Amino acid sequence: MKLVALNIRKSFGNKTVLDNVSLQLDKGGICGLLGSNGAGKSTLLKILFGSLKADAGSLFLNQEPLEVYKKFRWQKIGYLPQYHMYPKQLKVKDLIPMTCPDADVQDRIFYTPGIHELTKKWVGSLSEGQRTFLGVVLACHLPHGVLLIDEPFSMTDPKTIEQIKELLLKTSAAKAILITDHYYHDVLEICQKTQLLHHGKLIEVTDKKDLKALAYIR
Amino acid sequence: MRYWRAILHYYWSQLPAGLALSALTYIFIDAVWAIVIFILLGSFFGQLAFSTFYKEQLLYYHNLGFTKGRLMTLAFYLNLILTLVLASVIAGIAALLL
Repeated sequence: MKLVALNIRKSFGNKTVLDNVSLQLDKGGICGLLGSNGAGKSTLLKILFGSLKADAGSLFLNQEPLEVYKKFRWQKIGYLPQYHMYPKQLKVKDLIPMTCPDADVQDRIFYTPGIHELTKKWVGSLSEGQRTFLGVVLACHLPHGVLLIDEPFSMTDPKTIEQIKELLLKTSAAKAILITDHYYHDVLEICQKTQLLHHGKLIEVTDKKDLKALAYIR
Repeated sequence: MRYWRAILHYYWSQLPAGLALSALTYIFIDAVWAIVIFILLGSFFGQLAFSTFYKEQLLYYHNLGFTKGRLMTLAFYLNLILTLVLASVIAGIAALLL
């Protein structure tokens, strides 16, 4: 599975958020995306998913061109936004079969450490961290070949962050994954390639020094 | 239908809007128009209500492969089936009583 984005441009009024951004996501690795608040990370993810129209650019999924100006790609690309999209008025034990109808997949999710304890709870009553964890687990079990995950580490405790990292690394063997987060240590640790969205351009970074040089951190 | 649970969840979430519209039609016009409006416009108003009150859940459905249009179409067919089943049951009971 391979997703290629070429020269994506997006402006909001006079502000250019994405200026000819190009990136490639491949199966077998996690791609990280860093950037300050408002840099356009979520905008890029929404464009790749298809819930936001780009002003210009091209997208290819497995070398097949995708229409970039329209909403499309449903069921080819999975997307976990930074806010919670799962129905809050359901219990976790009901949400899992609703999202993943295959019995084997359901079993794997139910026996994921940390999920079993949540099954009797209402989705709406979960803490931010628990909801994020549940969201990542469900997203990783969607049948899509490409996963876009917005802030998988936010509001979660260190133990859960380790669990999420482990799960993402395991999932990346079969899927192309793009994650974006402010926890740059964790992003740099698990991503084969990390890029910083800086003034609308993507710049490859490898360590903290690069991030300091680009004034992302002090 | 692979995601029938998700479809039913959507259907039950949007149904009150269609029923409310139908009830208003019944109050101000008559029962026949209430049924017609429920079938023809129920899913549209249901979609509007869902997009207003459960907007964030639309992304969940998009992840499963359901666009707004597809959800509305499914709700339309389910409204039609529900109306036909209820009408048949009512007609059957009426026939037995009369």
